[in-house]
Amino acid sequence: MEEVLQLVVVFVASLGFSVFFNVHGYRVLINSLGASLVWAVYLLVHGITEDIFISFLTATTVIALICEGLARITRTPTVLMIVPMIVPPLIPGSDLYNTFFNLIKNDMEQFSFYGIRLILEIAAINFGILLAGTLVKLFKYLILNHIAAIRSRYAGDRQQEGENRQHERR
Amino acid sequence: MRIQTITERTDGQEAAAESSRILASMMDLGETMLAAGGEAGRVEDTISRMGEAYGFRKVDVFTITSCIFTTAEDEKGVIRTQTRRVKHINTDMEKVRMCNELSRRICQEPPKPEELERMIEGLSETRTYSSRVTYLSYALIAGTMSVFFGGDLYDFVAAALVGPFIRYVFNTGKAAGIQNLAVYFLDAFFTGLLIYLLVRFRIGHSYDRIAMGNIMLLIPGTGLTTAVRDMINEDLITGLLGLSGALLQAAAIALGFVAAFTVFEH
Repeated sequence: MEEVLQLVVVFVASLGFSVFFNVHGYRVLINSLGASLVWAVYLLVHGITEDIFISFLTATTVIALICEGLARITRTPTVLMIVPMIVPPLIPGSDLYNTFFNLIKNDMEQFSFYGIRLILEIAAINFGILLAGTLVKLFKYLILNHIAAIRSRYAGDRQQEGENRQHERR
Repeated sequence: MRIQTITERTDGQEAAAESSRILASMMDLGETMLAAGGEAGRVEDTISRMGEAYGFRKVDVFTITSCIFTTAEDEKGVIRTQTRRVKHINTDMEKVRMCNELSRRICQEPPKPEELERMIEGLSETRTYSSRVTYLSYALIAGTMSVFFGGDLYDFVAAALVGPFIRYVFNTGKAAGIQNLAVYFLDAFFTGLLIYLLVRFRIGHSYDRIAMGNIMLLIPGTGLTTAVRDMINEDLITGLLGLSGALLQAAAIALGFVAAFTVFEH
């Protein structure tokens, strides 16, 4: 029940962040759905592994892959979709605040606790985005290039056929 | 004979003036993009692609968080350098998107310089939300985020009351021309005091949760994440500048809240 509430809350918060980042039109809805999806993936993976790093990494990778696809369909830069989707659920604003708050209060134990969490979370988010980008590039290189190669070979065959036919005519 | 050389020269000068104007327009587009929160890498990419489309022989762009430097060699071999300084970055995704779309259009079919200038001027009139909607969105973000961090309905109401106040203090500080970090410090300080009062008068229950929801509006979490991504993308200078900026800002905000604590503990 608490999880459902969180998903709804993330959805609504993302509406607010869309105004914050000046996003318009149907993209507002996409961002909100994406934000809820991010949190759903996070909750799912966190339920299984109980590991912050892996949960953050998986959630970011999944959403970044989806965004890469959406970006090609809607012709929007990828980052413009990823940022509003990731901000409400994952961006570690509270940990960043707690890190500095405890530093100023001179509570070194809490400071290092939140500081390490902050570093882990930021690393996971960025590696997730990087991983998704890498996967897309690999996919393009390996599969799309193959398709192009097969196509061009096919076209070459046809051209040769045509030439042969011309020879026969002669 | 003599007349011919003169016309040739004026032709050359006109062409030179034209390529200078094109370069200036490209820089305008890059500047708009950077000021709207576009990444350094994207700005560099956009300018050099447009340069290629306009037939420049070589375009070298270097962008860091607040500056763009471009050296371009046109078809006649004339080399020009232009520099832009971006002082305020105001995240505006709609504008970045429009810039991106425009640069795509320009690359496909480079327009004449006058047309290009007109197109880029048109960018200043992108859609924005009205100030009432923006204030409402601050309330919405603060309220929902405080629930996200475990607050109840009372915390939601209290946080939603504080959210617009944050924007008001921020705008006032900016309008007064106060230094950026000081604005964040003051904003956090007054927010801390206000939340304390709200909890005192039993409008909200948990100080921490209300504060956490509102901190999401101030804290540069996105800036920090973007800075690290810039560094991973090998834009090391931009990343380092962004990182130190974000950390300083976070420190100023934490200091503001600590100051508020100190005030009501005594």
